[in-house]
Amino acid sequence: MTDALPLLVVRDLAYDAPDGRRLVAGLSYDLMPGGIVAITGPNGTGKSSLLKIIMGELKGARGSVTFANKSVGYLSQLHNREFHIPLSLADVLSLSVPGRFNPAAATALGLLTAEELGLAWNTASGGERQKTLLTQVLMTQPQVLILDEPMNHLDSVTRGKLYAVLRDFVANGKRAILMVCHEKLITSDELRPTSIIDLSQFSSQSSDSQN
Amino acid sequence: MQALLSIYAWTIAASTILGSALALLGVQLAARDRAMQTMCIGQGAMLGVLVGIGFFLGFEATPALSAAGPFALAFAASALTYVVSERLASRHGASTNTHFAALFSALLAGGYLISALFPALENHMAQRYFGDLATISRGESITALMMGLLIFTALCWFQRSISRDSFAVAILGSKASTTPTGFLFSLGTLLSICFCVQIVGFLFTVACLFLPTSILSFSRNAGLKSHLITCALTAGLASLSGFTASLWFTHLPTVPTIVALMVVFAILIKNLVGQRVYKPA
Repeated sequence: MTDALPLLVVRDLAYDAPDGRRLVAGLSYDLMPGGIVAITGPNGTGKSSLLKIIMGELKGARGSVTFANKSVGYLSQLHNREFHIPLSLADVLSLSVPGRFNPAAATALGLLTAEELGLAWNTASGGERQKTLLTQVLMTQPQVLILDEPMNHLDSVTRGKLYAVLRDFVANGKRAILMVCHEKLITSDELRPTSIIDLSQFSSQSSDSQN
Repeated sequence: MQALLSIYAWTIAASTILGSALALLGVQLAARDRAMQTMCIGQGAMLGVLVGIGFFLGFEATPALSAAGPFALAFAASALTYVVSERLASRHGASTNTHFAALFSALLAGGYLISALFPALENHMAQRYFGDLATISRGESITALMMGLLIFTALCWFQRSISRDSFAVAILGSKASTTPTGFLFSLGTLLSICFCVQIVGFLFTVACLFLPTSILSFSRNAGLKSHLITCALTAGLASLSGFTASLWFTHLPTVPTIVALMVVFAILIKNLVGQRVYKPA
């Protein structure tokens, strides 16, 4: 694993909040194949902003972000819950999968059942929607998974299933995960991240105090 | 009646296809919560059309220039409206719909001000707002039919990727305009709205865009294709039967009749469509 090239390289990243407050300065890390990197920190430290900057959805950051290839699956937090078109959960999954949608492949991941695929998105629970979005991003078979609080809305049983899915995802040593999650989940034995980035260590206040 | 139908055959075909195509476009715009922004863009296009008509009324221009001039100005005005509305939407001071409503009121006032600057523009303004499909020339009808077929085909062909973008915009807060398909969708939407406002009027355009998808979104039926098909069917049927009805009953105004029938058909189809399209294996 030491000879492998990083799948994502972040160098000297710095970015501000929309009101001009410096959130993060001097952040550098390499996401190596087989790694699960957990990003944590108190509210308002710019965890979700970091993922958006990495994905190119937020501009204005300094520093560099380089992916080894373009096979990246990204799941942000829910922006809205309701969707105007009355989609089924199967419809949501079929939108992102090239070719004909295979329900068996969707349920094989273990997050959704065949019965749940027929549910309407707008009346499904928060957990069912989150499982659908996670299944959707996993079905695209990316090399790098970038997840923003993927455990939101999930009960303990489903969280356990997701931990297993994520561990399987990186088990072949060729893929990696970068995820924002709460500290209490990081400390659980089930997730086992290979490294943890506490964003509060990269805030301007902490940089000033270190200087 | 048969003679009337043969005279208006191209216009009936054009309004049917264009109505269906606009309904498909409206599904995606409504899914992105851009209905109010679309009203602004339509009003911006209206402003450009009115300036164009007012300008070309002043001297004798060729028919091609009289049509192309207002269209070019409509596109420029709607593109500017789009840029301004996107900038307003990117600010978080108030809800986006509040910004769009404010912009719409300013553009509406602008349209009326322009009608005061050019003599004889008020009649044109009423026609562009409420439309009169029966006054469309044969050439315009054929162009509208071609445009309708083009929009319809493109929206069917790229249905999956456009719907995926709509879902990502609405649920995950993505910015679709940054992707190539997102850019093409925005450009196609602007061109379609400018064309439709100029040829078939603001009311027909907005009604076909949002009426079917608004009513049919209440359907218990969970299915993307089902929603797209029923929306296109509702707008197409309403355009076809509304136009024919207005020819039969000469006192009926064409576009309001189409809109009234669209409401009726949408409610009927919503109640007729079954519970569920997808059934788990």
